[in-house]
Amino acid sequence: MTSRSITFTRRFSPVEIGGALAGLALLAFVLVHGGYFVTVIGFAAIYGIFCTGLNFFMGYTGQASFGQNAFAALGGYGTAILCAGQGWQPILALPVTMVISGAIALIVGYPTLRLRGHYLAMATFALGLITYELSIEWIDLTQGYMGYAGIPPLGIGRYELGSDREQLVVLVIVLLLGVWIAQRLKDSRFGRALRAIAGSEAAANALGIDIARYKLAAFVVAAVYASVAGSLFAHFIGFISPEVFGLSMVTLSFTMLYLGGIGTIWGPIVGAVIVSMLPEAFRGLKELQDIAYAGVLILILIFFPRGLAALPGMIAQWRGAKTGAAP
Amino acid sequence: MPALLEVRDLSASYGRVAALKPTSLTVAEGELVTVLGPNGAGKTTLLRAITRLVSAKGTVLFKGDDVSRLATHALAARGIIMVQEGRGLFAQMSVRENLVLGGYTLRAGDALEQRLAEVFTLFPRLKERLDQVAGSLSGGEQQMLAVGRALMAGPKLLMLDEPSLGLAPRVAADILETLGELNRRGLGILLVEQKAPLALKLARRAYVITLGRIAVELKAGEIKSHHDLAQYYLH
Repeated sequence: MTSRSITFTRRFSPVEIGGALAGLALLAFVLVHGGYFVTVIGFAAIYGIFCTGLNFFMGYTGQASFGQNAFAALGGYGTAILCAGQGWQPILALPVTMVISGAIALIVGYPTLRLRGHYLAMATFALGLITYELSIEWIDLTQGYMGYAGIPPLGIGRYELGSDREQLVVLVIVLLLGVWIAQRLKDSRFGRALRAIAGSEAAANALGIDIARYKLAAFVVAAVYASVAGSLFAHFIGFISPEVFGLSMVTLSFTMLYLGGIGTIWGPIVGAVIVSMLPEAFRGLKELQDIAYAGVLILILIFFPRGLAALPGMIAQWRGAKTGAAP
Repeated sequence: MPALLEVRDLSASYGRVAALKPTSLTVAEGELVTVLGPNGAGKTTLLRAITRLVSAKGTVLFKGDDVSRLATHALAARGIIMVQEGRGLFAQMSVRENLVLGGYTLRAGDALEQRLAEVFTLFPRLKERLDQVAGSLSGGEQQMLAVGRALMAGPKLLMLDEPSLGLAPRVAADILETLGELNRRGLGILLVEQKAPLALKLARRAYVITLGRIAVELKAGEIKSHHDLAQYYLH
């Protein structure tokens, strides 16, 4: 056997190439077709960013957060207040809200992340509820139930992204940037440490990994991604209300993560695209839509706990078994 | 010269159950010491108390420094590395990733490559299995990986919790033989074992632990026959 370097080499598989082509085709179709599709895929890109962040905490690190919508709300309202209220440039407001959300995640996460399992899930859940209540009650700041309108689209200086299509292109670019960063982090010393924590906390700890610090770091990274998603939503739609960052955001993002494949790089994106298009499929159900999402989530958890991302592997295994080759 | 490891009156409890009563032991530089005893005697708790995976009272000195207040990860950074019972491998990750994580406390890539080469000379099998998922290895290979991963950390003191557990006798003997080789190269080892005959072949000293406390300390010359040990297992 030839001597091999420790560096982790990567080659693109047919599935990845096919996926990239399908993604490009979808984007091209939407850009040409325009109209409502742009909004749907724009949502998918925004949720893709949100889920890519959540994946750090829930996928790689194996922790539970039911309250990441709190940080999307921080990003969204921060953007609304700074841009619509104070007349800030979006390009300036974005990093400022990211820093604020990250700092708040650090402060809130420090005591909260001492909890484990169900307790952590409940505490983060409370975090989302508190933010939701604040966004309703703190009317001077958030305009309450009525929501915050008049948020300008993304832009630099005098130049604004006027059309939805231009905005969509920027959303996709930000998404790809977010995925690229996630990919780099996942295969780094940092990412391996996170995945070690998911594997076995005791073993990771005994190898010298500071568990509390890494959990907090993953939580902050997830919060910053959520904040960006919230800000982009505000710019894209021009209007936010408490409901936008409510409990349905948690349900939706979980469905996306588990459908696409939690702990994988592209799974959350695939999940986001599919789930964003589901309302079209479920349109006839009206109020029952949330129940349909929950139903889909339960079916996935039972039959495909590793999501669509596991499919290529399953097919390969099935083929291997059929031809009698070693798995 | 201070001992590599000196444990003074270390005790630990799970809730109100005292799993480890005040216990003292030492491991000298370059020494291989074994801790024997029946199931549930407190052997695992002893190692977990030393590495602070359970909260414990008492003093732990490492090369003369009081490290009782250090957290688990800080102890690892000092070179106190434990191979846990049941190996504690990251089953979903490849052999390669497990090994790289073993060298977590190393920052430089060169040192990592060098350590990796050393582990491969010790366990050539791991090199063949590099891209395989750790959970798919055989029991013996998993134990090799667990030891290899621990060596990646560059331990000053290697502690092992029942490395022979669940292995065929021949495979267990091979693993313990490797530990003996590492010890001859100067590595201090604290070996917890239930299989006394295997461990006593290697060890210079042995502690027998029963009911959460050390019942007896045996010097090399005193270990006449492992049949003498039977009395400690009969409770």
